[in-house]
Amino acid sequence: MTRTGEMRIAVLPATPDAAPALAMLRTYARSHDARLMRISGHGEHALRWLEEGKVDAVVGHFAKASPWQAEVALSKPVGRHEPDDSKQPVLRIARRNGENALILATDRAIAELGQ
Amino acid sequence: MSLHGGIPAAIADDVRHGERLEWWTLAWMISVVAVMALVMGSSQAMKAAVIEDVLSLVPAIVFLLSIHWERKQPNRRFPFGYRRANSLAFLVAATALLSVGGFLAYESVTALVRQEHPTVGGITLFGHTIWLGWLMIAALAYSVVPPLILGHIKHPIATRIRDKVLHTDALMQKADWQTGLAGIAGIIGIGLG
Repeated sequence: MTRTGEMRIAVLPATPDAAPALAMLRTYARSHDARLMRISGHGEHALRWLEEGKVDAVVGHFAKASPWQAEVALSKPVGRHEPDDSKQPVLRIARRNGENALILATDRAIAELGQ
Repeated sequence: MSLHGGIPAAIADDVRHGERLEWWTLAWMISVVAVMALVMGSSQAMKAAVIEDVLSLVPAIVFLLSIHWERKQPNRRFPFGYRRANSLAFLVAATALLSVGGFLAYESVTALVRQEHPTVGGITLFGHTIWLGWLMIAALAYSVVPPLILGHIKHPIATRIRDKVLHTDALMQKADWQTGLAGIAGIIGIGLG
């Protein structure tokens, strides 16, 4: 992101409530003198791109018990509490494993949004 | 004490001291495992440290078991007593120490080869979201103290009573605190990016 000045975000289809997550990512990008660039992609492709570092984050509905939970760093639900059912998909931001600055910043923003 | 049973009077006090230290070891190391498990997250270094701490309980347990058996007097079934229990305990303790070394080496090499990126995010406590790495460092610092002190006390006792199991346990404690320090360096490394 810092090299290109762009933060590449994939928003999964059927995510009509992505706005708060995108606002958080836009704030983060702005604080690093970058701009948000939306990339369209479907679930499997987008998460594979995230793993490979082709996108910086994926916004979509994911269950806590998602099969991708070890491959990417899924955030807590955005704008709501964790559902009791760990298989219920809710709005989350998937971040690339090891991108700890982005992970901590979004974790903080999500916690603040929930308060 | 008879020829084949019991603890010789010359080392009885040191053996009792060793036993007390092993009970303290179990209590402290269980608390260390609990604290580490609470904050380990998805960090491979932390997982390795927790597993290493669990395995480090083995020498203490087998030392206590072997002393319990060694105190028994010979009987018809075991006319030469139970002193060889110590050799069995040594085998178990040494295997545990070897397993810890093997596990740490395997985990480190595979993580390096796969170029895994450790993820340490935030945790919300009392309304504040802090970096989980700080908690990990605090837990690791706590995990360093008991084995450093207990291992330091055990080593001369193990030498005096010529007990291989207690000696192995002192070495295990050395591995414990060294793993803790290496873990702290790893977490700081993650923090620095």
